[in-house]
Amino acid sequence: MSRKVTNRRSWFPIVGFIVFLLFSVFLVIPMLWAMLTTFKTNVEFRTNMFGLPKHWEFSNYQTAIDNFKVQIQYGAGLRTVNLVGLLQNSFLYSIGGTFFFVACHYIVAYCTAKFPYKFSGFVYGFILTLMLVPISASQAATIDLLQTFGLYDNWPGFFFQRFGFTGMYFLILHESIKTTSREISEAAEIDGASNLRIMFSIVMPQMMGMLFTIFLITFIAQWNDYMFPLMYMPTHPTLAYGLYLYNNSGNNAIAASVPLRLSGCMIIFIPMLVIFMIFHDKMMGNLSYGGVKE
Amino acid sequence: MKLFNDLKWKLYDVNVAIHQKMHKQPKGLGKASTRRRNNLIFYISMMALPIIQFVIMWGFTNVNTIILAFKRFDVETGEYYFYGFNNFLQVIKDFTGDHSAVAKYAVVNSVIVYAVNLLIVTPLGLLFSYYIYKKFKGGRVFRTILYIPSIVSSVVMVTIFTYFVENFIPQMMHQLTGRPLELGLLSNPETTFQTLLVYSVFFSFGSTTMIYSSSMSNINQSLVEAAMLDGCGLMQEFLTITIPLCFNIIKLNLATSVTGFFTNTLSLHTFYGLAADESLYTIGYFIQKETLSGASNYPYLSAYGLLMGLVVTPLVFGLKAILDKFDPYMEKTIYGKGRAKK
Repeated sequence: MSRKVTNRRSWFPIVGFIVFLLFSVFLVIPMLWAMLTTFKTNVEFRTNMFGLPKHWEFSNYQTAIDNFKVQIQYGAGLRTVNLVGLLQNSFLYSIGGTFFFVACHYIVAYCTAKFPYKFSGFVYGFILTLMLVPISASQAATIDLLQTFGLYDNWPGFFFQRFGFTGMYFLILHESIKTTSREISEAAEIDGASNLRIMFSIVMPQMMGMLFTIFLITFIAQWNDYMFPLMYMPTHPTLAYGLYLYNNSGNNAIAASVPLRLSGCMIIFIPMLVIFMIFHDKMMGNLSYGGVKE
Repeated sequence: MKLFNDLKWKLYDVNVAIHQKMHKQPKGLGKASTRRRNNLIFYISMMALPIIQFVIMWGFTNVNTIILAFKRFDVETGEYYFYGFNNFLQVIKDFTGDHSAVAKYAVVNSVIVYAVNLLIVTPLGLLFSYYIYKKFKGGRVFRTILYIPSIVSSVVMVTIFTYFVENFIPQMMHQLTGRPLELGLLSNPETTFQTLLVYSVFFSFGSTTMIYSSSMSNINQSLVEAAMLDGCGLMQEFLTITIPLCFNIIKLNLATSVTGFFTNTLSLHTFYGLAADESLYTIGYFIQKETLSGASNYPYLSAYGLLMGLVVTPLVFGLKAILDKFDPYMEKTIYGKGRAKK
């Protein structure tokens, strides 16, 4: 028995711990350094790069907020969208987009998992194949198509684009819905519950943890995404898009000041960090693709 | 709370009673066929909108890609006209001609990025996931830290990383060695691409680790315990139990990652906007940059994407076929005819 116990004493946990520790240090140090830098003046940043700020310069955040704006083409002229406008767009973009995204995934995953029609099999197989077939350079054709249908650069068009179901989350939800209790659904059916009721009142509560996780992950990804608004919603800039422009700003005061630029970053980073710290267990514990064999 | 629950169930009973009274079966239809008909109506009404969306956003888009590949944009009139196979010929010329440096850089860099992901990120991700799954010291904290870059906007990460490698590291090196670094790691052309690769590797573990470790946590523990009693070491357990039992998800991730060959931009747009040096180009960045540059590039890009797809699709399915051969438990899905190995 002692030989067997000795076998389990591997080098792996020790090496793994050291690697993880180094990895974490190299990941956390830049973030802490950036956070401290936001409280320095640009002069102090040059002279005291590693130390704590001598005078905590909170005004950097105020300056960043004041300069956080995007100018967009509006008719023949230009219109300025300030921080409040950017926040409004970000919330609509993140919450609305995520809602349609998750809703569509759930509906299609539920239907294909619970109704074994041939079409369900076709959809499932098609999505699997689709994930394998590389389709590139379709952005250009997508913009062209959206313009033709009048869906380019407006909210209905954006929500329509988000109401899709291709991808990993479809497979994950499909596998999980398949494993939900059939007996409860059948009992409800005998009691006269409609399909809609079974879908939303019986199966959905069982899937709530996973749906919430997908919602959170998608919400965060949407909140941080600047490329999609840049390509498909250019006159509806979000906070992330605003940050991208802020960091490439022609304003000399911002361009020359590292603390000011990093303060702009923290305005976006801190809310996400708070959400993550509150929900990190939920976010990271609920997703698995049911490919593990017994 | 109890009162609320009682009230809820009473209301449910009333609802059931009303439903049973109201739901008279249509004449000529049995209970089973009524249910089948209702199921079909429900199925069609639920699936209709997602399928329409899919047909438009995927089907029409790809048809449009094919059509655009045979057109050219007239800058003066602002309209497209038929251009035959010239876009395809132009792409081939760009890859084979004397002035093909950009296209070659894009392909070579994309291959390097893909190889790094395949040979470094995937094995490391699996080992990290195994460490977390085995609940070794600090595993939960490490998992949280690894995931932080995934919740941060790429603009934020890139900005922090840029200043870190351009200011912090040179200054630190100066203090440690007494010799100043003349250029930051991104500014120095000799280290730029490697620095971008490090960035790409360093911040890419979050979601893969999460998915792998969650899948590993579903492994039947009695199997692991039995192996332990037989004297199975940790690495042996990893190689002979954990990897084979999670092979399905690993296979799917590896096969789908080939699309990354086209889409991985190495965050060049976030680092440099549209002004990245040509020697840093990847295919993903090239496509992104040209798309953002205007409608006149759309036909060329469509031809480019189609040709790339033609080359890589057989590679993907070849890779999948090879992975299937190594799959110790070829899974049988409820629809597919997969064979289960004993």
